[in-house]
Amino acid sequence: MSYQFFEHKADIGIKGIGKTIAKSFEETAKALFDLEVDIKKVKPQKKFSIMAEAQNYEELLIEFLNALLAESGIKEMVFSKFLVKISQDKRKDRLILKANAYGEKLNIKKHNIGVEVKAATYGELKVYQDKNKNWINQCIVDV
Amino acid sequence: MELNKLKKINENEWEIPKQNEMRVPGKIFASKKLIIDMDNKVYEQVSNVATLPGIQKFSLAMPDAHWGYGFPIGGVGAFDLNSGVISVGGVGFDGGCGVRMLRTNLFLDDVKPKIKEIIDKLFDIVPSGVGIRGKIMLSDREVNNVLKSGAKWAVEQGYGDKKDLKFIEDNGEIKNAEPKNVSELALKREKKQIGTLGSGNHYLEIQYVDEIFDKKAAKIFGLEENQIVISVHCGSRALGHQIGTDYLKTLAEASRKYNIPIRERELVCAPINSDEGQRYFSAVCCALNYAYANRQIITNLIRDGFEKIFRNPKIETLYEISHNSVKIEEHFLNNGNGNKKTNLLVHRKGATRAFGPNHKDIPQAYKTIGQPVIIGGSMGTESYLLHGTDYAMKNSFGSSCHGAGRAMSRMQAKRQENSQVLLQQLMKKGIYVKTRSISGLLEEKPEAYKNVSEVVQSTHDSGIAFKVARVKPIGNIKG
Repeated sequence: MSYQFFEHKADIGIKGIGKTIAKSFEETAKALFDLEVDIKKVKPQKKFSIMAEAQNYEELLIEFLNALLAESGIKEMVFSKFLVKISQDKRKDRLILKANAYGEKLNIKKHNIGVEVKAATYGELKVYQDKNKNWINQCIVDV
Repeated sequence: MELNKLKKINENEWEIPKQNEMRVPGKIFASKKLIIDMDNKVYEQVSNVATLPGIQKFSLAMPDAHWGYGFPIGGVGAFDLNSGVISVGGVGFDGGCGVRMLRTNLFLDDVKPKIKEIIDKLFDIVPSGVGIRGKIMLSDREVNNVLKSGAKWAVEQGYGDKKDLKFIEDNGEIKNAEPKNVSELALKREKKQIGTLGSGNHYLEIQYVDEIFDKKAAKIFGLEENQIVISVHCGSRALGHQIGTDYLKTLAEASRKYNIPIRERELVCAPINSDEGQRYFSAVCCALNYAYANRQIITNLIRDGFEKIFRNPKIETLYEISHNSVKIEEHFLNNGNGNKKTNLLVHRKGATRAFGPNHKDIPQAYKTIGQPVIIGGSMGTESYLLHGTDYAMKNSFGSSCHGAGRAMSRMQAKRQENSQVLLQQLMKKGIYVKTRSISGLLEEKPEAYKNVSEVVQSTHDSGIAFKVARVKPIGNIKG
């Protein structure tokens, strides 16, 4: 559906809204990379697979975003499109996230670089459904 | 922050009385005005840190304190080595981030006419901005050496000279670093980032000495009016970010395992003596060494740049401080033990060491006056050089503030004007700024920060560090 940014004194908050939990995570991932570059200028040319797991949605969000940051750094890629699937493991005590991230090699001249994100943090971390049953998730990122 | 929640100790020190689960009181160093402007989150976070096991004397906040992750930015906490804990929140996601100040034999008249030339040259040779790579590709073995030996490794490789090492905290090489406790992922993210500035509030700035407050100290630090100095603010890059991320998870599990009650998620910690605590400590020391090496290599690049533009420039390290660190240090506790020194684990999150005169860990050349304390302003405003004091040793675990602290959120800062206008405004003020990130430029504009002079004055008045000189920028590379 959409992503937003919200105020924080020193850093910045990112927020994703979606019809499903997975869609809302995809939106937050877009917000994350929109801080680093102008994602409208990033072509979703190349696909990368990301995995994350955690005990709850909140921690899963942080694991997911930090896995994306690591992958982006190592491969020198920036991403603009995401496909997320979330399931429970067999014993039903952990959440498993599998995602495809699509993007291209970081190009300083082309991508309008913004600010490098150091980490997604537990600050203001929330995952919930609003009264219209939309999923919303958010956290502060350290820049 | 509401004044009535605090007990006034004096004009520049305010106590948060011990209450509920707090093990020690909190203490904030700041003028009344800075306290009133300070966000309430600082009160909450100082109080939260005060509940952690093994904390000694008081949980502290410096005059530039604002809302952080677990610890406030500008937070200091010292812990007993046996009963205490170590926390990721007390260091943050950029362990070893700090500032190096270089002293030159050049003066304003020499550099001002060539400012565009030298900044453009440095912009070309000092990599900066999102995702940027340096020229140095470290082999696995070399990475280990960097993490173990820091700036000493860099000097051994020919980046700079041995004399630089004497003027870096820990002589540029902190012990206790154990590379095997740094994850594969962190090492992978390091690739070719050594010798790069990074982004956000990191910068390289050419400044001149605008005013001297303490002639004797300035002479000892080798400074006179209109002399050119260079400041470099950067940290441990993605390696340090990943160490923070990795150990936040490890210590979250450790907090549950050792039953440590945590008031805020980012405050997760482990007993210093536990396996998890020791692993984190040795990993964060690796980040500190990486940051020391990073600034050493950048220093070398700066020297190369200046040599291309100026005749026989002499560029020496005045001093280098870390403002995100956790270190074992000797302090007086005066808890009925007379004047015996005790080893403590001191966390400084956005706070600078301010060791007083004759401390064993400061350079011989500065012994009589105390450690240089480098306080960076924001892009386009003045910065300050101060020195540490005995009062700091007794009252703030030898700590002081680290910068101006933000006054405006990044979103607010971006909304108000466009970046070209800002560049022109800075140019009119005589500051030539160059950056790869136009949107990032607005986020770092001068008005987005508290008035650094107020923060420094309050630091000075409180006695935890004394003003030596003020420097003003003429050229800036914003990361």
